[in-house]
Amino acid sequence: MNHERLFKYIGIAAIVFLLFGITGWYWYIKGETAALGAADRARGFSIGIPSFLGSRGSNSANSGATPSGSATVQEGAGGAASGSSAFLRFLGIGEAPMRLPGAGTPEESASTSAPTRKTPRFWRVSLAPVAGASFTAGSSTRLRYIERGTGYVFDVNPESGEAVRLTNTLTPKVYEAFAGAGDVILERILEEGRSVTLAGKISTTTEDGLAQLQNANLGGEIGEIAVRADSEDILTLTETAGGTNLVRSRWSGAGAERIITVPAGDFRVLWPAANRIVLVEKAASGIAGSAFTATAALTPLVTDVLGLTILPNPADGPILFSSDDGARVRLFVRAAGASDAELPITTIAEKCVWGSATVAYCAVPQQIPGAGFLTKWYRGEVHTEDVWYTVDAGAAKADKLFTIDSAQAIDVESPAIDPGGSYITFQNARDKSLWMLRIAE
Amino acid sequence: MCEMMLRISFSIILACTLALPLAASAQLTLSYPRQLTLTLSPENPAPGETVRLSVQSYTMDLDRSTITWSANGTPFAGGVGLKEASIVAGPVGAATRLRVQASDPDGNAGAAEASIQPSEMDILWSTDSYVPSFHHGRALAGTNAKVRAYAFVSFARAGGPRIPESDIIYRWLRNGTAVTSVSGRGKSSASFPGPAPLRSDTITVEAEAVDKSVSARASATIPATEPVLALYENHPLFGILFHRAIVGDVNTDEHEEKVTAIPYFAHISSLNDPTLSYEWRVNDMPITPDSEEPETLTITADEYTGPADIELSLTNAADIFMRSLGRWRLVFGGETGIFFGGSSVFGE
Repeated sequence: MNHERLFKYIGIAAIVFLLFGITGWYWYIKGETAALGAADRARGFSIGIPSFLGSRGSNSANSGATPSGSATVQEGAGGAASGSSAFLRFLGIGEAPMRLPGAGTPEESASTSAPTRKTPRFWRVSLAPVAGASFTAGSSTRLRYIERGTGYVFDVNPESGEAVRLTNTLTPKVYEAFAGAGDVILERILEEGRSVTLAGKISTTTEDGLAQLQNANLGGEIGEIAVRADSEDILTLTETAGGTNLVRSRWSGAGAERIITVPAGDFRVLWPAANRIVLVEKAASGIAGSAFTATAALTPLVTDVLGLTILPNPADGPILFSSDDGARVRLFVRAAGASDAELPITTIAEKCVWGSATVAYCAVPQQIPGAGFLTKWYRGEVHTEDVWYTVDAGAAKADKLFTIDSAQAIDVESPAIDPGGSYITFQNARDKSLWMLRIAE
Repeated sequence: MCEMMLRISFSIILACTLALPLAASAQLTLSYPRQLTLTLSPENPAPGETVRLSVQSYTMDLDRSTITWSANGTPFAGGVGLKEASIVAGPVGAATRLRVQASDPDGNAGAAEASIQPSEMDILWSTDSYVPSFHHGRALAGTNAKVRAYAFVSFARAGGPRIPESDIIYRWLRNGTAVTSVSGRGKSSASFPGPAPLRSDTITVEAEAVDKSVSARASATIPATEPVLALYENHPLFGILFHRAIVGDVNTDEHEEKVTAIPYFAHISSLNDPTLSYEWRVNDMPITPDSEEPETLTITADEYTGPADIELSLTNAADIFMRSLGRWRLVFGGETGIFFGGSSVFGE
């Protein structure tokens, strides 16, 4: 009898333990599934494969204004089914390309059997966030950009608006990217909180019209990078105990040659001309900074200016520089042998681009959002709504070039101009979307 | 013989005594120019910098005097009462000898000379404060920061090459007090403790060529900056959206949000620095941070709609002055898309 009761108790205890075990297992599996799901989403596994129209895979889902009637997108294209659907909808992924108020649709040339399309004067090239963009050097102008979410590389014809995806190497979460000559691409990502730079060339062999990006890891020591569209070399800034090293090397890191080591300073590197490198101290509102031409020695360009940002001139002409003393932003032009002249527009030099030796184009905030603008702008805490101006540096004059529709609210960053001086591309700092403006009406 | 000598001596003394007034008169008008004072501003100009020149005299009426200014022997300005002039400094190493001459209607004359030895000097500095990768703004001096400074100097002797740093004597000062331990010949860079909370430090360096042919001075003001906590969405596709911080109340129609806090200018090596203590609270409920990513918080709302008041208190065991507090509000089930696109959420 005792044995029977004992067996009963043991049986009941076993069942209870089993139930507890199953329950625990259930919760464990549930937790792991959530973690794996998050990891998968982070890797982009849940993102639908973009739908590409055309033989070379023009990503119309990412293209703001596409020619040849490719304005329709297949259902689900661009990954709108992910958990962040609202954000993706905001970005425009998975939706028909956005038509801009006032921008209209691409114009067809009259009386042709095969109509050629012309982009609007102002249009959004990529709805998806972009990690970097620049015009290619060469006979035909192309805008090359790298998507932030995928690391895919695209080429866009600025005249027709046709966008072609070039690569199929997936690199999620690209924070910064650069395009150099010879199909060189540099992509910068974060690994365990530290930046890692991947450098590669677009392969010449393709599969289904898409090429691989054969990346080499340049490591995590690089702080800042400068790349020119007409060179396969790169400039890097690295920090060591001895100071900041400015190094020029091939895109792969080979042939590294130290140009100069500066024992202290917090720098960005600019490469306005093939034979001219500029080091400028990183800016903060109300903090004095200086800029130098860098060779084996430093030569001062602009010194001791509060909140200094600078736009050197590729043509060795006058330079633009701006100050932010914490309360007020001012833009100046400095020409050789002349006193500095203040321009009648309130913006930072970082929102400008040179069009010729004496003509620049500047995005001018309609209103500077309060004190300490520059520091907050770099942290993404404030944004502006900009209007484009033409600056005549010789006469220290500025005239309005183009007014962006107020509904767009574009905060211009990283402007670049094509070699022919016809198009300006830039990103909207609010969402990293990519835009293009034709200078002539 | 002695009488003869006495007569000759007397004659010489008499002749000298009679001639003295004539000689003295001649020296006053011809041999003794009146004293002039020539002032340069700045005293150590940079190449291409405009130097203002002014002349003063306590013994001449310069307003009635004809004044002539010359550089390296060539007159470049002149006129009656022209007590001020300006000149543009040449390049480094190109010395300019300045001379100003004045003569008044009474026949008095004076002159003064000075030399311009253009040089360049600046202080470049950096701190070890934390800013995230890809941040293009300056890493300011947060609490407990260390400052490293470099005195950029461009000296050259007249017509010669640049003077190397090893032939320059540097004297560093912090808030006016000489720091001898980092000063000396060739010591172009130095490290200092950062400014105390709520204060600014002035770092000054005086540089002089070993042969004392040229000298200059520069200063930099480094203010203490409180670490700033910024909160960003950590997007599954695009990563941390550094380009738009969450500011104020933010609406979202998502069921789950992952956010990452960035302590700008904190004295840490990384976001999961073991000395850091992240204390997250959501709607007043304490949340245990992820040990590997304590800076990141994932909020799962499921069917919940309403505000999620996020609070983060960040302290550093290695830095008693650091205590940052951030507050944000996410409203789940709020107006669609505002979280990601509405301009109002990004401040004014």
